[in-house]
Amino acid sequence: MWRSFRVGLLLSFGAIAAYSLQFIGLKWLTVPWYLPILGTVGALIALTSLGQRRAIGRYIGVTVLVLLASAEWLLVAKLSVLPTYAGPGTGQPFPAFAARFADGTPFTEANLKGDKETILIFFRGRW
Amino acid sequence: MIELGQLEKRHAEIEKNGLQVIVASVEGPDLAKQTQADFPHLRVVSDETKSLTNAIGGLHVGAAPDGGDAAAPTTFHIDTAGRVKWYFRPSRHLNRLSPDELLKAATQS
Repeated sequence: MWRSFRVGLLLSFGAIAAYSLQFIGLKWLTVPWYLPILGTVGALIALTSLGQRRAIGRYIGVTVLVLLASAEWLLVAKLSVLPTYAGPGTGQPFPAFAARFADGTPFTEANLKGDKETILIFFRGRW
Repeated sequence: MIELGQLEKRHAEIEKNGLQVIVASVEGPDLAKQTQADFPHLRVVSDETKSLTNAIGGLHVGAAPDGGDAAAPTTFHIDTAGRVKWYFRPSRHLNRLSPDELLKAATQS
């Protein structure tokens, strides 16, 4: 049953390592559903080890894994959800707005018309 | 900003397809200047008043780490007449278009 605990730890932290590799190493920006799934499976497997031996360290370890899996579900399923799209549809003119480029020059919908097509990307921030 | 780094690396290929890339956030001019310095081949916009972000219904209230608002990640392809050719808003902010997906969509539309 010590093996169960180790397998649980391996799955849980292995999933975190895999996401780190995906995000930082490979730069694949896709939703990591495997993260909370493997975290949950790892926590459940580790939980089975309590049936054989009930040590304080093991209880703490299982609690950590359960909290970790819960946090992963919260992040992936809830906190990362974006508002429903309510902007212009395909074929519609881009609506009017007034902003500024980083050099201070004005940026309006008029700047979107010209000899080049535009890829306009909204990003969350430097953080 | 992984997405911006990927676009910066592929800027020559993107421009060769007759496209200009403009990236916008609700951050103020000081942070926009820093982002512009980091990604010199992208045109960075400071939408501090949120006029641009609100125009596309893209404000994600309370999403910034300090509790402030942020722009919901959205990509638009706009033609030379200022019309939307296509747009992409993922269901979750963990998901973005890769440069390959963007180029494929932009060149095939």
